[in-house]
Amino acid sequence: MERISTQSKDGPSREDLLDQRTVDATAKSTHRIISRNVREYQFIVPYKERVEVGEIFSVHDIRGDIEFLARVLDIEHDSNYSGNWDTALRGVDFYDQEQIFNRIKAEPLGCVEAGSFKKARTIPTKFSTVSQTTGDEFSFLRSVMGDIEVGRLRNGSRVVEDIPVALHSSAMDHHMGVFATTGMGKSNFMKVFAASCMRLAADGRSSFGLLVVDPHGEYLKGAKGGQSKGLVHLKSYASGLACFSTDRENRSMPQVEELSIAAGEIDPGDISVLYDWSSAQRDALEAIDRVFDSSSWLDEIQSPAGIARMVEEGFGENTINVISRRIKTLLGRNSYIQKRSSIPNIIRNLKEGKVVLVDIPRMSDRSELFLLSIISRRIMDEYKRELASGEERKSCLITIEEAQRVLGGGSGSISRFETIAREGRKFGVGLCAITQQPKLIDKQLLSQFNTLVILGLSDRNDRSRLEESAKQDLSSMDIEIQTLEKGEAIISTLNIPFPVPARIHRFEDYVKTLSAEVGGGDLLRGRGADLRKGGGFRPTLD
Amino acid sequence: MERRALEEIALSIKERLKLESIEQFMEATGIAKSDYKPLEAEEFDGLTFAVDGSNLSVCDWSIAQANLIRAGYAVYRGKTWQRTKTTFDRIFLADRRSYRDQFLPYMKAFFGLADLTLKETELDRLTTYFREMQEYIALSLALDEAREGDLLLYDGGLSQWKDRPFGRALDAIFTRAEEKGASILGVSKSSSLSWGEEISRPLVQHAASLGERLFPERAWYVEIGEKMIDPRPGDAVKSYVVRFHPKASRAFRVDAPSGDRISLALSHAAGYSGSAESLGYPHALFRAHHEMRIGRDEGALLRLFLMEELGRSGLELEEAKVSLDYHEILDDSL
Repeated sequence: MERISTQSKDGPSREDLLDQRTVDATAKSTHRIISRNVREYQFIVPYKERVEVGEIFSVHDIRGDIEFLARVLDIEHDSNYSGNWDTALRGVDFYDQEQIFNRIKAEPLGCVEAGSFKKARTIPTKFSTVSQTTGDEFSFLRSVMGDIEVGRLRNGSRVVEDIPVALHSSAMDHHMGVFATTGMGKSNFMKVFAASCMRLAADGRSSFGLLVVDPHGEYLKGAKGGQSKGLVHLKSYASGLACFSTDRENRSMPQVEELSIAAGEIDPGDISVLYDWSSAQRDALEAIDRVFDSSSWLDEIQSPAGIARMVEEGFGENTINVISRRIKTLLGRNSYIQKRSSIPNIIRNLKEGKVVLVDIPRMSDRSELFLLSIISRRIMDEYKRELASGEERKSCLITIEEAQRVLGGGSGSISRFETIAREGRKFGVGLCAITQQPKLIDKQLLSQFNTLVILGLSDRNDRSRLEESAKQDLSSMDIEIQTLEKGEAIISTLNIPFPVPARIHRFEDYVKTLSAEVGGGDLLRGRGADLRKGGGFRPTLD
Repeated sequence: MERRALEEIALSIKERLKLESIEQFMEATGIAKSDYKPLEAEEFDGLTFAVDGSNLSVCDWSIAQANLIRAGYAVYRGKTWQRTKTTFDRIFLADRRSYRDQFLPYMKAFFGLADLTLKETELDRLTTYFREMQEYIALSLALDEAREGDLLLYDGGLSQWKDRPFGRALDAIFTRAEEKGASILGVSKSSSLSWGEEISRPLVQHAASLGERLFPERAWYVEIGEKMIDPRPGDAVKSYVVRFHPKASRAFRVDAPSGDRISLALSHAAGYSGSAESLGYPHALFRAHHEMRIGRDEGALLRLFLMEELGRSGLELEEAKVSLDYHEILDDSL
């Protein structure tokens, strides 16, 4: 502090007269908090130092008792000099490099005090030092991670190998959304997720069954013609998987059962999800339950007598003919509709907490929806019934690809899945919605999703929709979501205190890792040998 | 103000600033083409010390003014900043009656001088003189650190020093620099040197225009000490107009006490006048300027602290305020 210069009769020394102080080139002026408030921290780093959006920094408070974590939101060129020195050709020859820097704007994630993490209600002391967060400083995250490992923590582009990112099984009946544009790794994520679920199931630690309906035929054996692997390659944990397929070749695998749906399991509501019906047609569909016996309606509505009966009930002949024709087409195209049904077996495996893969390659969009609709309804009915009876069973997570088809907030056809989204939690049934276009999913429905896995979305409207609906604040992460690379994700979920940046495991590598856990993963050895003796993966038919 | 009045003023300014005739300038000042010397930038191994100071009014009680004064120097080796030393950073209370008590301890401690008398007209500028003294002390302390071949840059003019209150102090500095073999250059950011008889025309700018015409895209210097300019620099130092960089848009007045080494000293200064931040101006001085500068916010904060201390000393705030120069009340929020 400056002092007022005063007289001294004794003849003061030079030191007394002056107020000398020196700042030299070793003084560190960067990596210190310079502003700003509880919502945003700003610090500066040398202009040549690489910092990335999304990177997490630790702020070591000068007071020493608290450490703040902050995620980089934006990076700006800045300097202590104003003017136009940095334009034109001469701009490359600057002398005072330490006066030129990047200003980092970061969002507080929280603070670690006495070993526990909490939201920050204060700001770091000004000039507190800042450094890139290392594995040690992230160690508190281990205690908040769940049991379904999907990847490793990512700090910017750097993977923090010590910290696995794992979702909580307990959050799964609160619904999960997986969002990404094409090629960003949705299928890889789902396979990794399914692999971890298989592992839990095989170890007897699973608390929910996972239903995956795969219309692209890539989950079972991997994509055709490619180097990718499928869930059957995870032999070490094969007992956690049950497979059903409509594909003749796949069905020939010992661990895969033929998928079939009994015609008697189909109800008029399942038909109604498939088409855009007129109001008259919809009225007629709703009346079918009343007019026909539930076990024979499908045959009757296709017969002249059945049609005549509906006409007698006051419905137009054309209306009934359209319904009848569409049902015929549907049944003709879906050879899996037979006398016996795989559904009880599917549900039993789900209740045991296994991963149930329904492999329906080359199936049309409409047929897939039809099938998914029937299975979902049966699952919901079963889980509702069991809740009422107090029977013990695991929860269930139903995966829906291209979920915008059924969760768009329209009427009729989509109401079944909306019901699961709104009410499934009560009965232990969750939805895992996979889509490239979250903007097409109803905002209210999306707000029911407590786990969001975001793998890169280039469309601003998609990002906005997620930001509006997420339980954690994603609004500040717009740039990061936009710049996510393939395989990188932001995961917002219950139990983990902030949206976590993750590098999702590459499925093929993860299979190797998991296989190594149990000694090579060979089906003919160890756990695999037992499976073989017991009939391999093949579920027992009812 | 009426537009017409502005037009007249604009014309009058233009008449002074615009160099209409090179020949007229050369004839009136006696500056010839042969006076211009090419300046070759030269890097060197020694240190460059750049001295600067600043002051800011904190409070003005009419009979005494409190000013924050800061002085010091930045040190470079080549293009690399080494350190900045602040040598003085305090409030100076300017009082016409007691100024000797405030100046003499410094004069004695740093220059071995026991007396200082300012003329009546100089007493109105006590703060300016105190700051000037602190800058000379900073220059002296920089010289303590300097070695043979080093360059000391001072922000301001050094001519006519013999007649100034600190003439003897500067004399001591120049003598010591000569003995050490270090060069001192005084570089003025502004210069009132002028030429012309009926009206004043800016000498430095017009000498720069001529230099650009004679030596386009080159650095140069021209000695002006013996030329017909106003005021005439004294003969104690040599005065120059210098363009330090070929692409610079400005030239500067430079005073140098050590005439023998002037060419080398200017070359060394030119060697480090090419920074993007301050092209054509010795970069060390640019840095010193920024680091010694006192921001307005700093002055405002100090003013609040001072008022707080006055309260603790037993002076009521109202008493302190009522004695302030009324400008302070009108222009500030106190």
